[in-house]
Amino acid sequence: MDEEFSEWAAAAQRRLMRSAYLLTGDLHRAEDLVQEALIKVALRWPRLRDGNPTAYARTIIVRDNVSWWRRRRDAPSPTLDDLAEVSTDPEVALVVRRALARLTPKQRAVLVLRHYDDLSESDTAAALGVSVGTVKSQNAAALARLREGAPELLALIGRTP
Amino acid sequence: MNELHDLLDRATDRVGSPDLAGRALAGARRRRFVRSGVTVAAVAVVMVVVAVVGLNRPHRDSAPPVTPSPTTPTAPTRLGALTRPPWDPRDVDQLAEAPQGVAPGLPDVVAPPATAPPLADRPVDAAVLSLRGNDALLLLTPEGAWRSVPPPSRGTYGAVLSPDGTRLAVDTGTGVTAWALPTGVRTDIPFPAGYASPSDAHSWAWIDDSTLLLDDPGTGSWTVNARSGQATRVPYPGDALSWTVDSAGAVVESADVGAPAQIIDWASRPPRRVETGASGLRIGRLTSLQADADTIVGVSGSDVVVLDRGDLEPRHVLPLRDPEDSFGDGKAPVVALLADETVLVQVPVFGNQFSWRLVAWDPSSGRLTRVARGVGPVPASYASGLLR
Repeated sequence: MDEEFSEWAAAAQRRLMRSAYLLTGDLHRAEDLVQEALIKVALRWPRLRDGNPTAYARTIIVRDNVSWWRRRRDAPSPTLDDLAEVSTDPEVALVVRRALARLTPKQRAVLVLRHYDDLSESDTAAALGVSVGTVKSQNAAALARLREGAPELLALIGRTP
Repeated sequence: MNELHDLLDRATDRVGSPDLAGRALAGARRRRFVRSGVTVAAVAVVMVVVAVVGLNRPHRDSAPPVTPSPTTPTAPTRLGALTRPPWDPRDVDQLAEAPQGVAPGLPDVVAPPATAPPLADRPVDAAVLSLRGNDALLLLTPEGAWRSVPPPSRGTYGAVLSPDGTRLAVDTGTGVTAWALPTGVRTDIPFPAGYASPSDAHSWAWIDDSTLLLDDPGTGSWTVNARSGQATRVPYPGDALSWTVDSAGAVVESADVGAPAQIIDWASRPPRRVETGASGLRIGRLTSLQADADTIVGVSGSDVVVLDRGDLEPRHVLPLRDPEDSFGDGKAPVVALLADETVLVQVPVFGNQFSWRLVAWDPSSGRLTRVARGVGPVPASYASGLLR
């Protein structure tokens, strides 16, 4: 069991860390979330190993993050030097971080699941425990908020508000 | 919107990942350990760390179901009527002492010695609790004497006293050692032949003084004769988040995530299955279960919940204040259900030196009292019949 789990975790954890970082904007918080998700997967490994443990872990991460968000304290804004730890292009990392910070937790989760993890609307809905309709509306609201409040992000990808 | 994907990818292309698998496996073992209501001094340190780290992280077991369970409208006012005012376990030492006669087999202070005579040399009639000593498993008798047996192979969660306290099952990693306390005789029993790949998650319980129940999530369950080793495959518990054996030997379980949130009572065949939210009282999945003929009690999140076994409906709820996530999800487990339906809850105390308290909650009056205080490791198991 341990070997199978470790193999899966080794393959999945970096992707999960990157998603968790996009959700939180905080590397330490991201690591905590991924650690907790891996523990929960390990606890249920006999049942999950033949299914989709990565989807399960991702679901735990987004749900735990939403509940944590409600009682978080804002972390100090990182410097470009700090962001060199997360990206080869710290300026892009800073723009992305600021843009995502404008979103509500649910909007941010939908955006990350849909546009970074490339989940379908129905898989995103399942991960968040909401309806497909909610995913659609939250996604639209997230993109609208980025268009209005973070034009620098859209400029980076060649779009204008 | 592939451009957005590429941008998010670029913004995180240096996010690395320390090797979290080993830490996760260790964390999972500790979590099982705490859920079972059993731990050792070393784990006390871990729990302190968890409590401190918990200031900045959610530890609530919010693991979602793989298959969503059907939902029913909630009835908060009715649930609210059942709910006692929240209690802060950090105030445990402000509680009054329990009246004499509550958990009569326990001393006021549980202070394990450094060493104790081997059980094999000096048998005893019964033990009321077991805990992990420095290099042996220690047994405390109702008369206050201590005995020792070689330690289990898997921490302490593999050591279980029978309800009457006359038998002890110790997991060996290849099977189980069944000790008869009145004779000091041990019987080594291998795993059942059909149990090909024991996982770290397996656990043992006593159904009666001669029959053990072996459960391995995802693999299956067996009853095992503690004298002959003869094993029989059984369907209970199923995929359980938590399960217990009542005083009549029947299993009660709370379904694991991935299945509808149900209480499943194997006292009848086929077993009764009741969704915990079926009546509108959405109490969630229960851990740390205990059951007798009329009552089931367990922990849902940070609530201690008492259910009527007749209709599997909640009757009383004791919310634990848990701002540091130190007590929920079984970290303050229910360890016994007494004859008058008093619930015994084991509360960890985080100070310079880890210790624990045993608290009696009378659901009908809401009264909380302190039954015992422990120094050092918390008990691995209790003989529930000797506490009643």
